[in-house]
Amino acid sequence: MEFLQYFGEVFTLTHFMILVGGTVGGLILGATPGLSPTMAVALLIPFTFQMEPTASLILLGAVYTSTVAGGAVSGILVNIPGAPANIATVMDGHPMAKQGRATEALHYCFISSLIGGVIGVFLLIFFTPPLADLALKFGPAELFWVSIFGVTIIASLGGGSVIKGLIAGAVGIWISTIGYNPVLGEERFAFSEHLTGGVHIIAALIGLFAIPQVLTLLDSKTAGGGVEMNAMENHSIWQSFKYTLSRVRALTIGTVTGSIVGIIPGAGGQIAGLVAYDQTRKTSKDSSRFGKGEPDGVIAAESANNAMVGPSLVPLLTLGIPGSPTAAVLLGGLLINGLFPGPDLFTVHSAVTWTFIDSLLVGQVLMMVFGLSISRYSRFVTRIPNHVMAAAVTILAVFGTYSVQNSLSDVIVMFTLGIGMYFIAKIGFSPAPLVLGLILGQLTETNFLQGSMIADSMDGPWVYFFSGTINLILIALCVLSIGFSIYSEMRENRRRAQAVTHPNEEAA
Amino acid sequence: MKPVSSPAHTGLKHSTRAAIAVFLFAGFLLWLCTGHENPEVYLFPFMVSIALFALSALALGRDLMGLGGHDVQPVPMLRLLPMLVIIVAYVLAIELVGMYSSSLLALFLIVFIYHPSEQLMSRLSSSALIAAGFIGLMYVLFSILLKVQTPRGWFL
Repeated sequence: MEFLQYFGEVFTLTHFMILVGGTVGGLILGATPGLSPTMAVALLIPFTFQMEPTASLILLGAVYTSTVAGGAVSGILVNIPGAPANIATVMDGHPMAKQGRATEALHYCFISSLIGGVIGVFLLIFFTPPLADLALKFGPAELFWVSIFGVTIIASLGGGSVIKGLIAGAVGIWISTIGYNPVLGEERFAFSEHLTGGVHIIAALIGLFAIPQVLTLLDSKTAGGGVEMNAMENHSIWQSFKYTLSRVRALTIGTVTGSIVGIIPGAGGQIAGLVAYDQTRKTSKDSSRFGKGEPDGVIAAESANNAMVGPSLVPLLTLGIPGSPTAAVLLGGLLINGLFPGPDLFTVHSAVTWTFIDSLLVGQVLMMVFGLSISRYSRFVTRIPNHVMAAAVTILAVFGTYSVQNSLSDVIVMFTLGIGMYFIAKIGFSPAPLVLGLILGQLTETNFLQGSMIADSMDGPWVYFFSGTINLILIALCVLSIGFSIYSEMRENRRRAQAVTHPNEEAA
Repeated sequence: MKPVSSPAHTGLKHSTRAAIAVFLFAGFLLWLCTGHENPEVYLFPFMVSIALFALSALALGRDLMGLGGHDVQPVPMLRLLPMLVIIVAYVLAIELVGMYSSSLLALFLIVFIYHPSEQLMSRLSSSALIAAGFIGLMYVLFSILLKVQTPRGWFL
């Protein structure tokens, strides 16, 4: 029960104010179409440089939690999910809003987010220390395979095509090698003065996530167009509480699915929400109500995407493998604060780590309280026109990137990567595997080179990297992960082909 | 926007062109890793490039065999051109004009150019107001609260 020991730390004036600010800010950012949790956390990382590690992690954790829930607001009100994690919420949330039940839908969204989120954080609390002990058994060879496993999972889930995901992941790893060889210290691929020292992770993150979004917001002819608004009714919060708690099946499916998906490195809120929504619909007595304003759809999707938050940090804190793209950005925040994933987090830095985890728990409650309070006024946020949003995000991206190391080169790298990402996204590549490749690249190379050196003094690299129980399990997981993704892709292609050949059967 | 994967009039499908571009890019990255004095320094990127080259060849092969390829979305270049020019000019102007002045100008131009209204005065006033307000917020956040030293050119 070590987490209780540091609970009081969350309620010190500074930490609590940061938690409140992060939660409210995150809800607003999340409700803003186009600003995903990943991008919000990436943009906020530069702000944390001047803060002490605990405060900066509390801020990032609060924003992570609340943006996931806040993204449902614009989804429910104007049919634009604030984040990919809220795609499933929109399916029934927006029809509810069209029926004049927007407030009710927002209530279910925040209450189920709280329930899923709290359970998810408890899983983080109770599963992290045993996994951290296991992490002690990991040497360079095991960590090499762990990082490869992380890349294979993200690659599989990133873009819908396994090959594209793997290509993007490999390009990300390649970009991470620009600058210096981490073991030999020799410079490489520094073609321009802007690349001396390598590609800074924050510049890459902001560029890859923010700039394509900016260009996408502007490339539509309706960039400045208005959005459809619905009337907001008055609905008792107490009634919403009672109703949400009575939906045990939807809550259970959402929370369990979210927790499992979260703990798998590379999956994300959108997967959790969609899987939970799908399972709830399939197991419902009357599945025809789904898609037409069924509260169970909102409850399952939102409890799932928030239940995913805590477990997604389990592999991150123990093995350095992010459970979601946002957790990958959070990893950058940890590293910048000098906190390296693994057992040290729970021994040397236990005060920082447990205060951070406790703040996630308190953050869930604050998220619901503020979410319910501001949901009545959230329509104003969703009214920001796309061209204003694009302009503001561009400037914020420049300031955020520049402030990392007061370097204009980082800004140039950020724009170059961002514009490049926009164009390659047009041929179906996703930024998520690229970013994870970039983050895991250095870890992979360092462990590969260190492992190779150890292997040279032992039985050679083949034996060192391809023997031992943990190594073999990890290799099997890598193969299974790619194999399952290929199988899923083939099954999906077959399903699409059948739908084309027999459209009537498919519709029935 | 509708994916463009149908055969183009010139012969190659858009998706095949994209697959060839990816393949050539992978080949370029592989070429960058070869011919160095100390190959040990480039060992890891070389291995990654080999994997990347193989994957891009596989993707190209699949595309040529019609087993799935790159769904190409059209890029509205004309619509994006002003934004791309603003980005280049913005980056060049930061050191020359100053961080806040160039940001103010960039923000104003983006909002003004992409503003849906056709009334000039309305576009001018709202763009100026938004630019001034947001850059003021940036100044408070970055210069006053976070004490970030921003480049000063002719102006702030």
